[in-house]
Amino acid sequence: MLMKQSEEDKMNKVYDEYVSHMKQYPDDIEDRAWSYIQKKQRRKVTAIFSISIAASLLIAVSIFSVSRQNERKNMEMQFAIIEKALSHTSSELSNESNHRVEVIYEDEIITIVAENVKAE
Amino acid sequence: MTEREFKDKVLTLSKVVFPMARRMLKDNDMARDAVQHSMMKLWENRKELDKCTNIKAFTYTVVRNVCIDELKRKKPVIFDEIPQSIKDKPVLNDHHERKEVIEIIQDIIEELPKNQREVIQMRDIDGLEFEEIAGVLETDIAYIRVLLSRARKTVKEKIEKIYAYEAIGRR
Repeated sequence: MLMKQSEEDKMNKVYDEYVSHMKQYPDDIEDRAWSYIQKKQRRKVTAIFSISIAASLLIAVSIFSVSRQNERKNMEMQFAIIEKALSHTSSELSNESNHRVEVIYEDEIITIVAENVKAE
Repeated sequence: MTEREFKDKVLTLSKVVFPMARRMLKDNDMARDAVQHSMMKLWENRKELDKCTNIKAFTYTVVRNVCIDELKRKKPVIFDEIPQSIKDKPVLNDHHERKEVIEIIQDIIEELPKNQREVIQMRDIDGLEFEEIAGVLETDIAYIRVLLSRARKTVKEKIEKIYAYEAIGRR
């Protein structure tokens, strides 16, 4: 009876030994896991920051180029209007005219006033 | 979940899940990586953890799934030695004898049917409650109790056989 109890105790001890061996873990497992999380987190923040800067730059360049294009278009339109206006007025500005004539051309943005003075 | 809460409730479980990861991956470095990767996943989803009723079982399941994915991705490597940094409290005097005994029991447990093996390891090594084991394995507690009982009985019988054989050999 005693012998059986002793064998049982030994077996339990052996099994406990196995369990305690299998339960082992590196001392720094928590610290390492936390360092890993922080490292990944920093990388993520840096990546987001870089992408944000790149996106902002892209938007700024796009806006700048679009506004330049619009500006050029506006100027071309203005030139076209001036030319049109001048063509309208050229017929009125005759050298042979004896009277002082005011020719006015007006649209949304341009007003042209021409004066013809009789040559003495 | 705040950083403090995460450290207290989840990160501390690294010690619990590491042995399981090592058992599954049979490699200390891979187990450490799996635990780190799992903790990162849990940290990223820490808002969801507030809704979780059993964080231990949930963490265990996450690590287990990461290990399963890792096993699918890579071929398992040969079980290596536990590094020096690992806590070691020798009970048996002879290191070789101790190592041999551990290997014998390891083999006995490895030979158990998969469900019995998982249950005995989760209960005896990882220290999970029956509810937690049932949650991880998605089965009921009564069945877990049956599996554990069968597994322990088999392990005990096999150890007894080995000791009986050794005793005869010594005579």
